[in-house]
Amino acid sequence: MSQEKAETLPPEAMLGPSDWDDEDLLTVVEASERLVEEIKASRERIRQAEEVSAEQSLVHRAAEVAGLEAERKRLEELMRAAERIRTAQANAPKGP
Amino acid sequence: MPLQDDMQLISVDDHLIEHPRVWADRLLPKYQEVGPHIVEVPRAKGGPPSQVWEYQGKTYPQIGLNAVAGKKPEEYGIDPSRYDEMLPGCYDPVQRLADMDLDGVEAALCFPSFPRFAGTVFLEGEDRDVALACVKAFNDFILDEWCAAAPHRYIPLVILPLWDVDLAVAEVHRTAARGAKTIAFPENPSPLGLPSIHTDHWDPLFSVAEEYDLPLSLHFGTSGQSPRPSPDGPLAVSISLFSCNSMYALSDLLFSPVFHRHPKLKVALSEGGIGWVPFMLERADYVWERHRFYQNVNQEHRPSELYFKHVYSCFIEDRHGLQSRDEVGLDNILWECDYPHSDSNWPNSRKIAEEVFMKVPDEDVHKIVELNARRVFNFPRAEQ
Repeated sequence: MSQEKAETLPPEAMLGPSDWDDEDLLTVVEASERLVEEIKASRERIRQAEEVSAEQSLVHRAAEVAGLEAERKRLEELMRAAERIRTAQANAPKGP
Repeated sequence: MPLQDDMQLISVDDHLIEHPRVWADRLLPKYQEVGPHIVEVPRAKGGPPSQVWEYQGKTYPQIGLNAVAGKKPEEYGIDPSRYDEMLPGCYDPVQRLADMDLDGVEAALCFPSFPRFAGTVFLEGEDRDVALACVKAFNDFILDEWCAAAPHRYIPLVILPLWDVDLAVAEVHRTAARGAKTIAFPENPSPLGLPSIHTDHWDPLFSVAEEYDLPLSLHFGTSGQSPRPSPDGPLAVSISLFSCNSMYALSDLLFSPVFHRHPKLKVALSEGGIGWVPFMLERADYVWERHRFYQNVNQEHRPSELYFKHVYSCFIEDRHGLQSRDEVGLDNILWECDYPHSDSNWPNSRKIAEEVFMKVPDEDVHKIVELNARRVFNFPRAEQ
């Protein structure tokens, strides 16, 4: 456990004069972490669905296959998003 | 599953960050130097310089690029940062559409950042001509650039030159003709040094809003005040109490002449949640029953009656409010996801919505996530 005491910011240093107080932007770090977690969870759902599907009868399998396809599509979308954000971030406005 | 595939999620409270050229691309050359532009300043804790807005000679440390960029949640604080530390969907409308697709969100109403949510930053600065040009430039940006990227997916919200009601009315005429769907207005103009809603000052503005059927969007915090019970309390106190701003705004409206003078006016309370609404209405009606006789309040219409006719409230996750949806008013509830603020559930807004609405009938869900917003903001689905 860290023995370092967390730095305490005085409220007046954290609060703005207005609605800016509410502007806690989703960070690239946090967004990337969310994507990584979701990709991991999606892969796990696919793995489990594939196992179940292999054990089921043909009748039950049709529904499982549809769900599996939807989950695979979602996984592709998540991975594309991670790449898209990485690329676009590199082209961010440089300022003045 | 109550949230059906054909129900489109419409978020009535999202946010955009203005890119560095929003005003530079639109202001006349004589205003360029004093108009909003990005400057770089050294960061207190080292690293690449922060990018901040400068306007009429004043630097604004909270620029909408601020807060928690690049930090872990336990390190959140208010600290300016840079565009390259933000999600591109914050400032790029095409990237935003991709973020919305991933999130399962069809359409979004985006509030400004640097101008503040109701454009009140342009009340500051001595040169009103510059301020008016800046208001118009922002509205041109939102109409011609941001929303034009996908007109059926962005609900255009415009800001006003609040220091002059005649100019504000003129800007409503100008922007309504070009597709504006709602007007940002402070939750309470009085703390900003402007006339209160209990005066007749705003009547011309509210009348023109009625004329074009443009709802006023009142985002919490736009009065310039944050709930702060103790000066040395943690920020968490303020964040957990933000909805109180919407309670103040609602009570102020319900006991004001506004809805009596403007029977067609609509008001959307943004980001305030809904769970408190039944209590507030019960309390307001109780007060009206007992105390209206000796006060300058309308004697004929109960506050709750005015609410259900004029006011709309929204939520991200508010299970308590959703359980009380009949008392909040099924036709008065809107949905929001608050992207790109960290309160949002991106990229799982639709998934979370499915869970939140699991025990709510399909018909009610459809009203809350889509149909009410389309009706209130006159924003029909795109024809296939």
